[in-house]
Amino acid sequence: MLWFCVELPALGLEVCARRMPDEDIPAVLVQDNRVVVCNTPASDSGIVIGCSLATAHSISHRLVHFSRDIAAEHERLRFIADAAYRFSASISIHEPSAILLEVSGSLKLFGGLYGLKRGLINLLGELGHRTDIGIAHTPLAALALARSKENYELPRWPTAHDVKTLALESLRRISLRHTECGSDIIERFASMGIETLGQIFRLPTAELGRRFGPKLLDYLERLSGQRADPRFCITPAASFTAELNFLESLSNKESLAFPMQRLAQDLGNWLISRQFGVLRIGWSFVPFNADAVTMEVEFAEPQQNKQTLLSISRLKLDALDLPAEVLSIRLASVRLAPWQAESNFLFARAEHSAHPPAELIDQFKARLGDGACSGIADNNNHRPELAWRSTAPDMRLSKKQRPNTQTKGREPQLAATRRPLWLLKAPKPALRRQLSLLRGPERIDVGWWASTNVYDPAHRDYFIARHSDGSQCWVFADRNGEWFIHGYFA
Amino acid sequence: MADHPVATVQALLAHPDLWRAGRIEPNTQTITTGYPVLDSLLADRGWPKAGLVELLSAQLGIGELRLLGPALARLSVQEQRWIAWINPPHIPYAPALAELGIDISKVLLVQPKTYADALWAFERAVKSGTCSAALAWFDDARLAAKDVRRLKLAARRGGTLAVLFRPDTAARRQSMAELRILLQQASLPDRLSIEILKRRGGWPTERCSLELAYRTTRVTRHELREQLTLWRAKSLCPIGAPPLCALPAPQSAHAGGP
Repeated sequence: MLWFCVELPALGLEVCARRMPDEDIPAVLVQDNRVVVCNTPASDSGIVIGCSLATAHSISHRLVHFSRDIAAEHERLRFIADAAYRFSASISIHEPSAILLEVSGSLKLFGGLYGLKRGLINLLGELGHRTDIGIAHTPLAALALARSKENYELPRWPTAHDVKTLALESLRRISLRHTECGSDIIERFASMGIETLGQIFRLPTAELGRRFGPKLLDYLERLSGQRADPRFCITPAASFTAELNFLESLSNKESLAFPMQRLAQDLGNWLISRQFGVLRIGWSFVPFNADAVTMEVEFAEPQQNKQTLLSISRLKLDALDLPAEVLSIRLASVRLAPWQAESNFLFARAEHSAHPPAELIDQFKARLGDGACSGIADNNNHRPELAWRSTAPDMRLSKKQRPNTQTKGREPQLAATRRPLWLLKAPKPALRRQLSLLRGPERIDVGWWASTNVYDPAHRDYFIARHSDGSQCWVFADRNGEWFIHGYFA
Repeated sequence: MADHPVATVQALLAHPDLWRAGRIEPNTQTITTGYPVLDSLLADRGWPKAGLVELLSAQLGIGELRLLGPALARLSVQEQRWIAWINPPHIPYAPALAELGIDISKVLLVQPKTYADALWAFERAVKSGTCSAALAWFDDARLAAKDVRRLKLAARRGGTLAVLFRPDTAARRQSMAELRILLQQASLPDRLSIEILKRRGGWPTERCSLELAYRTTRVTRHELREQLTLWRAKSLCPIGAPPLCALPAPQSAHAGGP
């Protein structure tokens, strides 16, 4: 059993600071009028933990302070646990600010202990959190090691025995402050001169139990691994929703870019950890005391990449009318599909395939509207207007097919074609004297059921003619002898 | 002592910093136009696979699409990328495109509503590298020289054959497209008269005429007259009545006649 504990020392502040539009503003978390956590710009400007709020404000005039929002912290911890799902399947949350992962099964996938550790630190850094990681053979030991920020060397592929001995050795050095014992017990030990866990381990357990009660014994046994410590593991959520509230309402679209980027990043990480691709997402922009404005963005293919999600959403946002002041943004996944990663060819033939073809369609749809983009196809009908139809663009292009060297395409021949390349949407009247006929006639019956008089089927006699202005057109004479241009042989 | 003049000139010409106009590197990324006459006039022996081409003509329907036809057919079959048509003036007719040899499952029609949207769509299609060819028709009065330059750079980046169709009045305006061809009607049907206004590695050419692929007219004048007479005779009959006289069996096959 190999347990990682990810401790988030500044979680309270980071949760509140997500609402800030700008990351460079100094911010502190306040409890009982004292600063308990401060972020990097704040500590750079000279604010220390433990100073009073008034002092802090006098040091930095741009300071923003928050009080603890326990519900938001819990929600965020849950979200981070979901995000960490890509590293391990057994994740449990330890209040108030730690996550425990059992990773013995994931070592090989991530290339050893340090690869896994780095991956976790990077992921949490992307999500915007500072972390301390503790590694041990039991969850409580890992927690204590993380809190004490004690580092010790482990081999890249540690055995259970290595982990146990090295962890116990480091545990002996850490002070009692970082353990889960109550503060009164810690005081009593301090008055006895016992500061570290190592000293406690040397004491006889029977005496300890008689003096301090069975709870302490239970804790120590679970800490050292003599007693099992099973944990409830979380099950990840089936869909994604996230919300960001702002301190001040935002009123122009450029300032929305940063929070939208954060939300898109969260969605991207969630999708990767659950191995889903998203087909439709819904953004809601909520003003104060009014209805939210929603925007749904649809993708032709399941997407996972946060840059794609963000760029197409921004394109669509340009055309949207937002309320004057936006107080919060919500992002939810509306339609999900299982993710299928595509394997690339070893020798890629297409040099210019920087973007997948489906992305072009998504961008066109986002900016030009849903109906602006279409493909064409044959239709099995003899009537010229109906011999073609408009279809959705053929997405089979995006599936990487092996370049076809066996089947040759239709080689262009010098064949006679009798259909024009341009078809007019409606036939245009023309004068007979402007046309000099070249080939014809070809009679096309447009269907007796389509004409008003059943004894008078509407038929058209089509010719290929040359117009006096030089173009070669497809003209027809209808039953009344009127001439129309229906297409051009471009 | 003066050296032999020829030797000094040769020494000068061999200098690496000197570039001679005739010594232009052929662009290897070209696709043959399908017309040997046109290929021989172009230094690169074909349309550039990554570049901007302008086709200027006074009116539609004189053969501009058939000029591109063989190249489009080859591109649509060989490459797994779109062929985008931005703002086409009429409907590209699927049966005819299929007969030309173009794979119509790769055709993408884009109908933007405003000029700015159309320009954006063309640039995106060309720059993204997802189209092997992109054809566009714009409102020429609003098309500025800097837009054309941007499109040329975008085409080069995305590896797309970008074709811009413009009216012949644009021939007088400057343009940064690397190939500009003026198309005019020829005296005979199925022929096109072309005049290259700008090309790589050469001066503008004189007018020459080429025979278009996909001939539409194969009947002779005599046959045509015969068919027209028959047609007129038949069209004078009321529907349902027996024919006035026994018509002779036609010599040539009617194109799906009565």
